[in-house]
Parts: sequence; structure tokens; C-alpha cells
Amino acid sequence: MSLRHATRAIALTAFALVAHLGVAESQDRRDEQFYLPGDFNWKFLGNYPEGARLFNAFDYGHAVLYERLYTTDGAETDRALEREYQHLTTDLLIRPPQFGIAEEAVMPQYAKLAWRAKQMFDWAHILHRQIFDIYSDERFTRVQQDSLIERATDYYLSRKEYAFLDVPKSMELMDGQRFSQVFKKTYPKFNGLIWAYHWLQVGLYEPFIMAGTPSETKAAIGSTLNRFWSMLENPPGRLPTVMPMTSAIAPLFSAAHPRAAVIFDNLHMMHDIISDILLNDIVPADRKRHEIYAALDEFQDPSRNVMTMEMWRNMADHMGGLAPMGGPATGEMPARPLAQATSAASHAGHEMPSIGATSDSSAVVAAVATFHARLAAGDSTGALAMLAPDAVVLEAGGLESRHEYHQHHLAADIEFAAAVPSVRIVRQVEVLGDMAWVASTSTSTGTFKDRAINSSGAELVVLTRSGDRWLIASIHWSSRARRPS
Amino acid sequence: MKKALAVTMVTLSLVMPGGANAQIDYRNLDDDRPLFTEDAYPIERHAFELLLPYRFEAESGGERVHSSVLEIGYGVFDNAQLGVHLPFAALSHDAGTAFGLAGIQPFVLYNFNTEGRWLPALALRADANLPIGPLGGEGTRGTLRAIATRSWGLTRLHLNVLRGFGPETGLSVAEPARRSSYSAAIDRTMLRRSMLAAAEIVVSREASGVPVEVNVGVGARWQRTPTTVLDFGITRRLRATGPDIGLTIGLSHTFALRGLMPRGPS
Repeated sequence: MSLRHATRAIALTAFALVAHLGVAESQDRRDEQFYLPGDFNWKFLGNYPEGARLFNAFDYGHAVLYERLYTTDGAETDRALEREYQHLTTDLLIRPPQFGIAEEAVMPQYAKLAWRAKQMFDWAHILHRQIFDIYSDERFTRVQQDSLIERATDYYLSRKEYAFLDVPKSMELMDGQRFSQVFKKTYPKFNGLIWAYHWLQVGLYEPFIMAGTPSETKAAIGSTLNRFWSMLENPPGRLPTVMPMTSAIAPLFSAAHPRAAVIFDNLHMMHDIISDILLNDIVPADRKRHEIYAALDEFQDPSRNVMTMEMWRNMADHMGGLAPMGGPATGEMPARPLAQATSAASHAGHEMPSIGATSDSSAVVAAVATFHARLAAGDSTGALAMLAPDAVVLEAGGLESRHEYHQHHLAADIEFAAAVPSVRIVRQVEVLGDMAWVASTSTSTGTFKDRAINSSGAELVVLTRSGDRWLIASIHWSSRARRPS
Repeated sequence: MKKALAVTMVTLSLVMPGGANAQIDYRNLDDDRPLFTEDAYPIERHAFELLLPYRFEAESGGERVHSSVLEIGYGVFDNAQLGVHLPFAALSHDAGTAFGLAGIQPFVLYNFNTEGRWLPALALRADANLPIGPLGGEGTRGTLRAIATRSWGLTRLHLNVLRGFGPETGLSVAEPARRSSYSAAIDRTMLRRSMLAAAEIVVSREASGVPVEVNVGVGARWQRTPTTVLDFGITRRLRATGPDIGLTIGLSHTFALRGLMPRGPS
């Protein structure tokens, strides 16, 4: 063997040796594994991109938070998180990426610090995504979906070294340690945003379970997404102030798939624990990896700090109920926006009954909500059925009869409602005999025909009673562009 | 040939189902897809990756090589990938055109670690070049490649050092197992476009006594569906030997087979 050959052989051997020594020291293995194969994969992205793509933006939000917490200090962290919050809420969430984010590129320093934690989060996020994919696959019956979700959960749990337990862990792990709660106290707005992510990530399972047909699912998803968007209004006012528990936000899903629900709550607790470890100076920089990995060990240990399933199901009651978690994902709207509506009306001198206080006012609000839901679902026949025969629609400086609205503006309104999420808040409801009116304001944020939309709207709907139904006699819409906050 | 390429690409687009892998396969730099330099990471365990590329090279001596190096890879163990190359080539020169299989090349890649705070990601790859087919060369050769990857946010640097073993006469036309090569590539991730742009420089010697080639290349990988990546690249020589121009375009598709997946705990 020539000297040159010998040198190269030695170099390659040294390379292998260094590699092994590095691994033996404190280096993580990459250990990536493919997800459960099946035709259902990516149906969520294909059928409901308005939800699936948002989750890509959430991944970015989680990643950039950890990177900033780990790589900045003090006032620099304040500025960095404010900058990222603005970027997330005014850009990335509104125009989310089509495909998954390469988190490693967003949080390069954190990924090098705690690869195992990143892998555990990725693995749980894959389960998250696959459950949405299964629910989005319209070929399956509900029974088949449930069976497949359990199989996906089995597959997730089969990778013990990277799976969170399906045993509920004590909330003390999140709130009762020496480093706990510093992130939510220091950065309530960003923390609320992360909790709003978690609210939607579990809450969006509910419309899939509740709705019957694909168009109903689409409309119900739109409604839940609207609730998410409404949380981002005037932050941190409507953001969750308590960690959203899956058992509370997604009771139907939790009942059907308690193992997955527990896994997601453990995941979300671990999210918060890592935020606290990264931010809290009580954990020195050179101990952060150790502390994070100790917490991961804890979350994989079924013998310590666990609670019963019964305690887990009732945890929301001990945490102040549903409202501080962001409210329900479906069904009746939470009290907070309505309380504001009452307050606003009171200031205006009206003797306004709280919404839902009488059956008439509830029915009136429900009729208007149904009209909007049908627009968002593309159900033109159903939307028109909510209009009285002599109804008039006033918008854009014009007046249209029911027939003219059907011929002209209805299609465009449906297209817009389907494309741009809108958050509507009822401000006033009045019922006088067989006549009623509902005043609402709304914000619409999204993209329509390649144009960014960020607008405020006002709506006055007059309804008349027809037998046991309320029909819309008149609608007046106006809107204006919003200035960036 | 252009028509055949277009038909192939359209067909592939139709055959490959939408959806699949971790949606970030566009960051997985495979050898020749589109650059010679590759990153230190294998495909995920239990994943298959099918690569269907086309490459055209105009050599400085006047030869024209059209080739398609089909590749199938499999994540057989944690951090380990097995694969095989099936290069088909057509070689045009003054005396005519020869075409056919240009050897079979099984390989294994093992990644030792993900990138840490101090160490880059490190991997070793071993290839065997079996002289099968009319353009597959005359002798069995092997190569060993050491790979390192280091990142700085959206930017990554990859270093490859390759050493070949075995007889150096009559090498494969499409995938010659070089005597040695040293290459460096830098890539940049465009997050929202799910695209990777990369550039490289490769210094290599095909066989003893043959002039050293210095080639540069640029390319990109673009995620088209959650499971499908389109790549394209261009190469150019900086010295007297090497390709006047090399163009490549390819599709890779990631999938898994249910029967090979582990069962759950219940």
C-alpha cells in the first residue's frame, strides 16, 4: 500500500472513530421514522387546506419560539418575540405554507441542543396530522375511522423511545417545578398564541365528529377556524389564559379516542415545560439540555406523577372551566365576546337581553348564523331559503331584491365566504313581536383572488317571523379595509 | 430525446400519488439529485424512496451521454439506508450510438449522528459497482464516501470525500466509480416555497493517470406534493476535462409498504 493510500485509509478510519466518539459523548442519533402508510395520508391537506396549512404555520411558531428563547436574553428576547408575534399573526398565519416547515432550519440551535425533544414533538405531530387525515377521508365510515385512528395510535406508541405516554401526567409537572410558569407570566401574549394553537389543534377534531356531510364538515370547520381567528383579536384579551385541555375542548374526540387525547395533553404540557426551561435563568445554559431530557424521561415514565383518567376528564373544572381555555370548539359561542356585546349595548343605552336569554333572540341569532354557514359551505339554495320572498339586500351602494341577489351577488358572496375566514360578533339583538334585528361586526382576514384581505365589516339583518321560522327580510352590509395593527 | 423526456416526466407526474413523506424531502440531498455532493442523512426508517432521473452530458471530446440512473432506497434500520442504482445510458459519438444497462450499484449509507452543538452530522457510504450490461464497464469496483453536514439556520454546508477501489480500466459510462473525489456544496432552504437551492464544486480523478476534473454545479429541489420532489441541475467543467455541460432533471417519490411496518403494542 502506498503512503497516499495509507493516509486515506487512516483518514477514513479516523472519521469513523470521531463519529462514534461523538455519538458516545452527548450526540443524539437522528432516528427518523416513516409514518403509518395508507391512502388516507394527506387527505386533510387536500380537502381542508384552510386548516391543514394553518398547522404548518403553527409548527413554525413553535420552532421559532424555542429558538428565540434559547438564543436571546432579556430585552433582546422581548423584541425578538414581539417581532415574531407580529410576523406570525400578520403574515404567516394568514398565508401559511403549503407543506410542512423544515423546523430544523427555523430552530437550528435548539435542534442541536435537544434533538430528542424535537423528535418526540415531530412524532406526536405526525399522529395529530394522521388523525385529521383519517377524519378527512370521506370513503371511511365513522366506525372505520375510529378503528384506523386506534391503529395509528398503536403505531405511534410502538416507538417507545419517542412516544409520549397515553397515561395522563400530573399538571404539577408543568406548573409546580422550580422553573415553572415563567414564560406565561413574562410573555402572556405569545403564550396565549401558543395555547390558541393547541386549542385549535385538538378542537378541530370536533367539527369532523359532529358534522354529517362533507359540506357540513366544511362549514363546521370554518366556524371553528373563525373562533380561532377571533382569539387573535386585540391580544391577549381573547387568547386562552389556561392550557386548553383536550378533554374539555374536544370532549367528543376525547371520549372516542382517550389515548390520543391524553398523548396530546402530555405533548402540550411538555411544550410549556420546555418554554419555561429555556427562558428561566434558574436553569443555567449548560444545564438546559439536561433539564429538558429529564422532563422527557418523566413524560415517558408511567409509574410517577400520573393521574387517573377520571381526574384527567374533570381537570378542566379544577382549572376554571372552559372559557379561560378559549371556549368550546363548536356549539354555543363562549360568554366572553357576548359579554362584550352586552356591555357595548348597555353603553349605548339599550336594554338588551343577553343572547340566549330568550328563545326568540336565540332563534333569531341562529337564523343569521345559519345563513352565514350556508354561504361558507357554498349552499346557495340553503342560503336563499333563509331569505323572505320580498327580502332586499343592500351592499356596495346598491339594493337588490331576492331574485336580483340570486342572479348577481350571491355567487360572489359564497366564493368570498368560502375563501376568507370571517369572525362575526353579534353586538345587538332586538325582538319586537314578529320582527327582529341583529347587528353584528366582523373581521375578515385571508386571501381572495390573489389579493390579501384584511377588513372590518358591519351587518344589520332584519328578520320577520314566518310561522315557526325566522326569515331574513333585509340585510345591510358595509366594510372597510383595516389598518395593520 | 426531448420528447421522450417530456413524456416520461408527465407520466411520472400522473402515476405518482399526491401526498406523502415528511413534506420536507426537498432538503434531502441525494447523490446526483441534482448535485454530486450529498448530505449526511439517510431516508427515514421504513421509507422507500424511488428516484427517476434523466441526465444529459456533452463531454469536451464530443461525446454525448443520455442516462437515467433509476434508484430505489430503503430505510432498513435506524439511520441506515440500503439502495441500488440501475443506470441506463445511451452514448453517442462519431462512430455511432451505444445504449444499455451501465452496471448495477448497490450501496449502503449509515449516519452516525444528527448535527450537535459541536459535531456536524457524519455518515459513511459504501457502493459496489458491478460490471453488468453493455455499458457497465469491465471490473467490479467499490467506493467509500465520508460525508459531513453542518448547518447555520437556513444554510447548510456538505463535504464529501470519496475513495475508489478496484480495477480502474473500463469504467461504467453512466456512473463511473471514481478513483477519488472531494466535493463541497452549500445549500439554502426557502421555507415557504419548500425549495432548496444548492451549488457545489467537485474535484475528482476518474482513474490513475487521468487528468483531474474540476466541475461546478448548481441545482434545486422543489417539493411538489407531500411525497414528491422535483429536482433539476446544471454542471460545467472548469478545466480541460469534464462535461462541457451537464443537465439533469428528476423526480423522487417517498412511500412505505404496510407489510414492512412494525405492529403496535396492542
